Amino acid sequence: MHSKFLTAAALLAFTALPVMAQPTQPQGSAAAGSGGSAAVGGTSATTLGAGATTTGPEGSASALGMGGSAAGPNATSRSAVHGNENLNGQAMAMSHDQGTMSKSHTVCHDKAGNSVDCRTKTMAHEPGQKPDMSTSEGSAAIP
Amino acid sequence: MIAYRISACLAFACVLATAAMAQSTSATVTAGPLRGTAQAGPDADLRSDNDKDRAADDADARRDQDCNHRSVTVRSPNGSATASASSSNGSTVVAGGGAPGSRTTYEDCARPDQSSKDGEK
Repeated sequence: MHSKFLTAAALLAFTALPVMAQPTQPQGSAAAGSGGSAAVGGTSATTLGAGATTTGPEGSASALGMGGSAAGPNATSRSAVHGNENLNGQAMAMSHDQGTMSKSHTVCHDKAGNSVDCRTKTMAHEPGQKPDMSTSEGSAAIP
Repeated sequence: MIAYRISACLAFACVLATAAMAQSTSATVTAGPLRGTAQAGPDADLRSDNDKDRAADDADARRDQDCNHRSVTVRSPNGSATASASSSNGSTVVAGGGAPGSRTTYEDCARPDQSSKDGEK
């Protein structure tokens, strides 16, 4: 009985050693996104971003999608994703009519095999009023 | 008896680890006319053929009706990570990107289905 326990303990030690000898490589997946809208006085702006990353024995993969939309006078929007392994995305949208303005801006960082972080900031402003601002965040990391 | 308990604990730990590794995760964001989704994990691309056919039909219907749909979908080489952004508003711009070898598909009125593979020149 005593020898059986020793055999099991030795097996456990041999199993643990290779794990301890190598730097631990996280395995798993993460997905996150954020978005926001601002609207005031006939102007509106919306942006969002959503990203995913996964890692495993075959390596890491990541994907990131961004979008921006604006409506009203002088509406402009722009979206872009840059990077190769690690991805950075931006989406901006704005519409303004003289002093009245709606603006939204989303930034996402997709670190391949590691984490996804997105943050959206919005602002709506009318002359004579305090700007109405908000921030939303979404993040996920592979444990 | 102790050895049996250790073995049982090891086996249970392996089952837990396998289950944790096999899980996928997803995120969906909706803001105004925009919708974004991201999915990562081993079953990130588990849509059935029927679902894919339905999605294609929906896309055709949107183009025919109001021509306001615009979307981008990024799929990693093995399909383990996907992300998309889409809108029902014609003034929208969308962009996407992925790891080397990923396939990025843009869809809008002017470009019904335009795919590109990241890393290709």
